[in-house]
Amino acid sequence: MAGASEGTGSDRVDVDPPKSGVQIPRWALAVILLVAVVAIMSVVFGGNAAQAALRGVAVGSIYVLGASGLSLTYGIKKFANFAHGDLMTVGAYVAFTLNVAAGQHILAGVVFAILVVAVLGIFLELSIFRRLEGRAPVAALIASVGVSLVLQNVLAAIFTGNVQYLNVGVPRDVPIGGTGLSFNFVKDGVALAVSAGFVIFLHVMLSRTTLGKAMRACADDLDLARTSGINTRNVILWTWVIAGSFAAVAGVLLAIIVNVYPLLGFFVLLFIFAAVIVGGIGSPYGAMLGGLIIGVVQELSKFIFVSMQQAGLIEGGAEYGPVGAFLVMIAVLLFMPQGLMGVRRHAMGGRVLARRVRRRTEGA
Amino acid sequence: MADVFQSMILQLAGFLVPATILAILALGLNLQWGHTGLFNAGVAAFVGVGAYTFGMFATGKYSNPGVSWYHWGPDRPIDMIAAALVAMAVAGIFGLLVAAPALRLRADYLAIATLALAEIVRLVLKNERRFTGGDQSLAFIPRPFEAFVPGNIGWASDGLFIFIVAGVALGVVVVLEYVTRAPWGRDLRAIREDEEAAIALGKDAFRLKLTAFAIGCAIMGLAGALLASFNRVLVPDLFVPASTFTAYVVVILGGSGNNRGVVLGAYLFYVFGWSTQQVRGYLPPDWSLRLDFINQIVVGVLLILVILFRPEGVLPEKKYVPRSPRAE
Repeated sequence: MAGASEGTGSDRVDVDPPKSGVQIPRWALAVILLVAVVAIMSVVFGGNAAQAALRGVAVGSIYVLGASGLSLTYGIKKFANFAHGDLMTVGAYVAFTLNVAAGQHILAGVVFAILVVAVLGIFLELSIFRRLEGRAPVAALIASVGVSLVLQNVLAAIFTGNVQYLNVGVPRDVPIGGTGLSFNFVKDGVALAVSAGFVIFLHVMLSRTTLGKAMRACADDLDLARTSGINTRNVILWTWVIAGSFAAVAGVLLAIIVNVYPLLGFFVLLFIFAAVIVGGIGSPYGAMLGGLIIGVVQELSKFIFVSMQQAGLIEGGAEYGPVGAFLVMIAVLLFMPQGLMGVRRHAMGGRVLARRVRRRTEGA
Repeated sequence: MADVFQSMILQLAGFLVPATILAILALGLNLQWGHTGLFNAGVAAFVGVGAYTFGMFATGKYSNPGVSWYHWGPDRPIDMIAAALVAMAVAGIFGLLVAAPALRLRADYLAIATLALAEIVRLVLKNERRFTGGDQSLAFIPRPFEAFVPGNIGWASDGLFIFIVAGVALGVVVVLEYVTRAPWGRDLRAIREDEEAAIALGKDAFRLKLTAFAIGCAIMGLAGALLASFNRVLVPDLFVPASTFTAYVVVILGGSGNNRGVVLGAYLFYVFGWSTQQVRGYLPPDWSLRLDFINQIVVGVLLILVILFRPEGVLPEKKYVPRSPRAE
């Protein structure tokens, strides 16, 4: 809202008015704010909060993987894919089958999961989402809800609804010298390293390769990209391949840290949406930052809710961790609908909003 | 002979009552989604709020420290019709509070925000045990007119409930048919088709959307109240966010924007669910475990197929105005 009202009075309300002097980007402010919150909470709640923030970064790095993939399809296909979480679950179960049922190493499971989910993404695009091109984005959204239901329940029918575990040796936590914090090489380390690797891969791909540039062009304006001679259909298929493989890896990581069950991805979906929205829809970089923020907020807000519980204000405590993350998302929706790194132009309906704001302020 | 009659009534109520409640909540959703084009992904939350409000007000405060089982409520239970009205009001106001900020956003933002809300509501229902009874359940919820049922006979009470839900559903349909044919309903459809054009013609789109959303939520709250009363017991898991999508299948299958189509959709959907339950007994044990999953798979496939090949549903909306060429 703050951003929209700045445009008041100018003809092109969609564009931020030029500002003089050095500007600190929104995302840098958000990072500074996040670090400050972690620091304050570490002082108030002691080292446990810093530990939780560390765990939050690890969980958040999985959200980063999920969110950057979702953000790619969101940017190009322009609809919220409610089945993205279930693509992650499919990846987790493929790895589970190879790892536990077939007794293979988890790496084989990951590779195979990437293949399966990428092919599944292509299949969904060809069989469903391509047919919905030209219809309102909500049509594709509803279709993706149907896909989500189908995937969840196919997995449940095959593997039962029970919670299962991957066969991965998780070592003990290692203390970080002198800080009182501890670190788990598999739960924290692998998640961080893998998602960092994929993020760098995505960055290089988007900025250096022809495909990446084509993807950005398609996200900007699909029709314009098509008329400029980009084979948009191929680009869209590649987008599904990349989004699918990121989802598969995220799913396997989640399965390592938590466990495997048919609703694994669906429950994470909201956090991933939250990450995408906080970062700004259609901006993969924003989604990365958003994932980290949501992960840390989710873990840290448990402390606030637990202390509210101890004060007798509420009965639930750590269970409310997700609530903190959702509240951050809703706050971003309310006050900064374009997100930390999104472009206002992507927030459709912004024109109506801007006009309403202008009308109101002019009338006043 | 009497036994056959009684079990028939029980069977019939077990089918008709939940189906009609589903129809009522789908009518509420139809006002939001079908007529106004608002994607509310938190249907479960509004039904849950209505159900728990009714349960608390109609049952009154309950406290059984021996088994640490409590829930909040007024000291004395209030009249059930008043409780149902309170449930509608609370669900409606709740909808207003959520919609006022969220309606300014694009359709899929609204969807995500309301889905998150549904999850928050479920967590609160589950964890605030002293307030809602939590997983211990909120129980002993009364049914209306039970004083007229001789003794404590299950089948008679169930049979009576068929008429209660039928009456309420009829009332909701009549009111909705009236208001959606009135200029107000045309305004809503104008916003759905092209919000900017509607604004240009002087319609206060935000206010219209807000009212439609709140009224839809109140109707969902009413459906929740009926559900609470018929079930007699509420547990938080009745209101998982995914159950929202059942309502969407009903609305889209029946025909978005057509009240009668939505009611038809609810019964069609329930016939399907009910008939799969009938075959459960004949299935080998491991398949009967999977029946619910298969059921959901069919729902998902149905949703995809309807969206792909017949987005207007079984009973399409009647067109009152020619569609603008920009419409989808």
